[in-house]
Amino acid sequence: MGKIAVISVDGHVKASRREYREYVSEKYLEAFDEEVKAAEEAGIPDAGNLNPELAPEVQWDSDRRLESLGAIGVVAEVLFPNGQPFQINRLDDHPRAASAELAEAGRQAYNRWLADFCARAPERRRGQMQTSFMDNEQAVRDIYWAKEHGLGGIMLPELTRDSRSFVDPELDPIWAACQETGLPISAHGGASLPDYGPGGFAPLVVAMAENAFFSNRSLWMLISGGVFDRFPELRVCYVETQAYLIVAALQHLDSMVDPAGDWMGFARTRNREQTTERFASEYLGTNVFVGVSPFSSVQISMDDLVGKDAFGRPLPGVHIGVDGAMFGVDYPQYESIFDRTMGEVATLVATPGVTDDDARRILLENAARVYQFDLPGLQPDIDRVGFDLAEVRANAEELKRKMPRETRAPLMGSAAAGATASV
Amino acid sequence: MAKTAIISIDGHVRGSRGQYRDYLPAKHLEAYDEQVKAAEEAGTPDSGNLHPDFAPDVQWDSDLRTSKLESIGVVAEVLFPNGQPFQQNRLDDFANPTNAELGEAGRQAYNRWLVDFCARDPERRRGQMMMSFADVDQAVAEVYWAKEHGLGGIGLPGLTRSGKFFFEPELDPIWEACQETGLPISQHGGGFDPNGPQGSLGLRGIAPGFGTFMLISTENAFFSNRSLWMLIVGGVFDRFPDLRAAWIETQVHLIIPTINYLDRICDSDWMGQWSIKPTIKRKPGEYFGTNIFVGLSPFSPRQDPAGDVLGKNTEGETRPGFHIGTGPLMYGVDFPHFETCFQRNMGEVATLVTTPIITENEAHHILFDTAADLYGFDVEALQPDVERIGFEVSHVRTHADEFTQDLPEFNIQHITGGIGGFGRRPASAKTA
Repeated sequence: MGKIAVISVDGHVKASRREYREYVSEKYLEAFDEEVKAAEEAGIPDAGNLNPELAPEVQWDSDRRLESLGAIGVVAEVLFPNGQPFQINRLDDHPRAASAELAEAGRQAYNRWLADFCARAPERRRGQMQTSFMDNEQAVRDIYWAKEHGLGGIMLPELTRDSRSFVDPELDPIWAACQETGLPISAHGGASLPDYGPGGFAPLVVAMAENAFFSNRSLWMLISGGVFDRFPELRVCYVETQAYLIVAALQHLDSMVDPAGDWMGFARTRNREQTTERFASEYLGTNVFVGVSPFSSVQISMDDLVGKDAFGRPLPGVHIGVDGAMFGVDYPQYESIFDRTMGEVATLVATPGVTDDDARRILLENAARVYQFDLPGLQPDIDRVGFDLAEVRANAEELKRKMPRETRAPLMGSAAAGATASV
Repeated sequence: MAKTAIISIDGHVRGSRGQYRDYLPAKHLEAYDEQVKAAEEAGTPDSGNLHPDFAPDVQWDSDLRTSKLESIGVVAEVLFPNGQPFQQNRLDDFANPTNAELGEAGRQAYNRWLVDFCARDPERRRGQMMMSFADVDQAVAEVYWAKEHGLGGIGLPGLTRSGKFFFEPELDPIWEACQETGLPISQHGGGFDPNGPQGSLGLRGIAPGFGTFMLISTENAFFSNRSLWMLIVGGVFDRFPDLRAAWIETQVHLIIPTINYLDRICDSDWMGQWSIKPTIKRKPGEYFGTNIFVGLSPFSPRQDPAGDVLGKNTEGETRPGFHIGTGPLMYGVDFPHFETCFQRNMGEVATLVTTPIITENEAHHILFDTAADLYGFDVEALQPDVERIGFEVSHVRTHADEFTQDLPEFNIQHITGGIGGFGRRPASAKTA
């Protein structure tokens, strides 16, 4: 078998302050300049959530970023923001601004910059457009704009108090536009968290625990709302949303629609007959994909991830499965596994029951399929930066041993970054 | 072994409309009479969530209720409301009143009625005083009031948008009063208003149909259990080590993965990067059985007797990770709710006691002992009633077939709470 490489479904980028200025509409330049001036006077670095071992330039320097990622076996990336104009808290993955107008201005500047950034290495990047679902027509326009400008998907907006629930069929034109353009949707973790008040141990840990709920909330809404039945080609990825809860939630949803149980009888008594066509877990791998990021057996056990025992027999219950799972490095955020990526790859490859074919899917092919990377086009880069699975398997113990100690929150994802912003 | 009986840690009661009138202050009577008149004109029954097999009187008729429960082997109950004056939606387990002043009057009227209702059969009832956290001083005074008036615990309020998070140290005087009086706290499921609690987001409009039904049913598990991890990581059980709390009908399928996750956090050394030191003394899972208890209600062990709740596989071997285990586990009938296991109660007991990995001793703990200890039932005083209406576990075990045959189908068992049996392994098409 030839070499493979990792497609990381979780990377974060932003422009430098100076670059962003070129993408902000003239109307908002004064406000932008004021914001930059205030930040510079306060000595705030030109960075979002950034690992201290990395220079801010990796957020926006195209060649440097490709080189750094190539060095750890990553050939391509799916991209989310690491800060955009008018964002209040620079560490949030879901930018919030002081007003809806400024939020929109910031999103537009980011999207325009992102289109240019991706165009510098179009085979190797899939930028996810920022949009809002508050206005269907605007969202639909944004989706076609993203397609025309070479962006590779839509980042699912977080739910706010004013949002429509994702079960609401009023949102159908948005799903229709995604299906029509073939663009996948990505839900990124750290979404929709309430304000837990001042920092400290309890608010931080509660934020981490509840992040799994709030960031995955759209999953059961979309499934139960029948969105995947009405739009069978629609694909939604859950990236850094804490996969362990997805497994638990899908199991619960499966048990609810189980004809041997009685929830559906109860639903009938409330005139809420089942309208979904499959068990919830059956949308995994066709419509629902899970980007485990930063990839770690601590976020989700390899058993729950691959769902097979050492002899390749299916384990009972719901699992993400080798058709639904993808690998995220979360570069260059604080909690990124960039300095132990091959160790995590080795952990996956050496999991009993995981075949080379399984590993290829999780590391490369599922992401290529969902985000429409051109694998033959990538092959020269894969041959250059990639690795041989047989070699990884043979050296798995050594690769794992060389991993630095986990001192960087492999578990938490971005929720903690936001929660500690006020610490 | 001697006979045992069930202490159901989940029963629901209320005064009749006429009775409640006697417990409300004069200044709110006009509003109350108007509400009752409107309900009667609309033909709304005088009941909360009530199974159609039962007359409304089982909600407030002391003797009728006791005899009904005795007929299925239940000797005593822990009591939650089935409707309070000025409640917004009569089917909810929480009042969620639209008018704060009237809601407060309704809550206090319920508590006073509950005192009298429990006093009619004090050995066999532990009423949970419904608490409000709006005013901490008042809440503390009410804990002592509950103790003086013979109530057996404190029913936690749900989180509201304007409310305090349970980890906030401002609430410490309340926990201190509970510890001081020895009253346990109980969080009953359904403790949130889907339209507005803190953090649940007032999602614009709630669409009708199946999706919203699934949404509310699924998210209940999260909102009802938030107090659990908030109290743990807030260090409340470290500052008040004798404080004991139970989560009743809150859906353990979400408790287990969340506690597993929190335990893994505590096992790793991630915390250093934030320069935040853990302020709790044990791993979150280690508070179960000493400070934290879990009431499965309506009880059903059927689907996966070796699942995540018990934490043992079919060979009786301990499974890795966090599980509830038999120590903190208690049995709820959820009488007289729609989803109660009343009609199949002894069948559920038979299934429990014939589960291979459950010892007779463990069955006694789940059915009776743990609840008796937590809620302060006087076991000796109950003994004559246990002898009269109870059963021998060994007898149920050897005659299990008689108890499990002709059981009615699931009567919508896990609507609000159940856990999908003991496990989380549904017979999905994928695994079949």
